[in-house]
Amino acid sequence: MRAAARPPIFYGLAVLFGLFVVFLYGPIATIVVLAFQGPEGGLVFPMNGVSVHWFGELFRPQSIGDIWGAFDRSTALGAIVMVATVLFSFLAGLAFRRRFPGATALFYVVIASLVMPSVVVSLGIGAMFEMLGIERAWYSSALGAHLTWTLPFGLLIMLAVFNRFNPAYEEAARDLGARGSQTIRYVVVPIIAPSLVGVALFGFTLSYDEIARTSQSVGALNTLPLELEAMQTNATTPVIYALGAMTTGLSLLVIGACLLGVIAVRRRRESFGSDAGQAV
Amino acid sequence: MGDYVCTRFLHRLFPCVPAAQPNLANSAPAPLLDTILDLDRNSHDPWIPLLGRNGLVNRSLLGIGVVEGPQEWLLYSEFAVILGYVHLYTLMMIVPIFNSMTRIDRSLIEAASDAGASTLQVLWTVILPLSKTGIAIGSIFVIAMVMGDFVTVDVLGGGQVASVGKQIATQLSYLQFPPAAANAMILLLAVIAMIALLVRVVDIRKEL
Repeated sequence: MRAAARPPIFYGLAVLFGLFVVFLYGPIATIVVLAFQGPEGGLVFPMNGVSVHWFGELFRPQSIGDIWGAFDRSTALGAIVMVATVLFSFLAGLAFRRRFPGATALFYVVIASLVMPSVVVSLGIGAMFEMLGIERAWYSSALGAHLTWTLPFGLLIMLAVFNRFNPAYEEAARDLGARGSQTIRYVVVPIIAPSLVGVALFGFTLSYDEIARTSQSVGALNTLPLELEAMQTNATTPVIYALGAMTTGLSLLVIGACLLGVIAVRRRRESFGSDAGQAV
Repeated sequence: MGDYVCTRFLHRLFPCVPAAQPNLANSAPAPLLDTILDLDRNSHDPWIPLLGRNGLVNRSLLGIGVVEGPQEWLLYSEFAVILGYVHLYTLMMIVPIFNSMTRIDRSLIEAASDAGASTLQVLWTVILPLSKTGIAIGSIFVIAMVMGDFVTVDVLGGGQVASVGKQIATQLSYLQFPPAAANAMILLLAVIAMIALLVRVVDIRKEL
C-alpha cells in the first residue's frame, strides 16, 4: 500500500480498537490480579494484601473438591479429542478435494452437527446412552459429544486450507516420481503443518472448555469446566481465581511452545534457502 | 480460561504469516483457527468482580461521583448476559469477516478511489458487499452458539434472565425429559430455519 497521511478518522478508530482490546483482556486480567489476593482477601476488590496464598490452597486437597481428578480427566479427554480431530479432519479434507458421491450431503451433515444447539446434542447423546442402557462416561459419551463439536470445525479449517493449497507442489512431486504416500508425507503434510498444529490446539481447547455438550453426557465423573461451574455457585474464596490464573498460565505455555515450534520449523526451512532458478 | 489470552496472542501473530510466505497453503486460514480457540466457557466469572455491587465498575463510578449508589443493573441482568455474549463471540464474527476481507483484491479499492469514490463510498459500495459472505458465516457461528447456550445465561443472568437453553437445562435438572426434548426440538427447528435463510445468502463451501 502506498503511504498516505492518516485521515483524522484513523485516530478515532485507533482509540476504539484500544477500548476493544481492554474489553477483551480486562476480565482475564482481573482474574489474574485477584488470584494474588492476600490470605484475608475476598472475591472482589479491593486487594487485601498481595500473596500466593491461594495458589498454595489449590494443592491442599480439602479446600477444593475433586479438582485434580477433573483436571486429569479433562486433559486426557482433550488429548484424545485432539488426536481424533487432527486425524479425521486431515483425511476428510483430503477426501473433499475431489467430488465423490454424497459429498454435498456429507458436508451439510457436518454443518448440521456444528450448528446444532449444544444443549440439544447433550440431551440427545445422554438420552441415547440411557435408552441403550450403556453407562455414560467421559471417555465414551462425552468424547462423542465433544467430537460433534470439534470435527466440523476441523473439517472447515481443512477445507479452507486445501482451497488455498497449490496443487502444483503435488504435481511437481509426482513428476519427480513420488508415490502417493510419499507426496503426502514429504510435500502435503510439511506445507500444511502449521494449520495442523492449529487444528490440534483448538481441538484440545474446544474440548477442554466445553460445558454445555458435556453436561448431560459425562456421567458420574465431572470434567474440569463442570467442576468449576459447580464450584462457582458456592465458591467463597479466591482459590477459584488461582485455579483460573493457573490454567491460563498452562495454556499460555502450550500455545507458546507451539508457536516456538512453528517459528523453529520456519527458520530451519529458511536456512536451506531456495534453489529456484539454480538448475543447470 | 487459559486459551483466552493465548488466542489473542495467536491472533496477533498469525496475520503476519501471509506476508511472510504468501505462496504456502497455511497462510490465509490461520487466523480462522486461532480464534476458534477462543470459546472459553469459564470466562464469564471474571465479570462478577467487575460488574457486581462491589465490583470495579461500580467502585469507579462511585469514586468519580457519577452515580449515587451501586448500580444493580450491571450484573444478573440482560445487559450482563449480552455483554458476556459479545465478549465471547466477537472474534467468531471477526475471523470470517477478516477472512473475506483479506481476499478482496486491492486493485478494486484503488480503482474505486481512482474513479473518485470517497473513503466512505469505498467502504460502503466495495468493501461491505465483498465482506457479506464473511458476515453471513460469522452470523451462522454466533447464532448457533448463542441459541444453544445456557451457561452464560446461568452465570451472568443469575436466574433473572431466561432463555430456551436455560429452560431446557432446568427441566433436565428436574429429570423432566419429555418437555426438555420437546423444547429442544422447537429450538432445533428455529435454529435450522435461521441457518437455512443464511445459507441461501452464501455458499459456505465456496467461500471458505
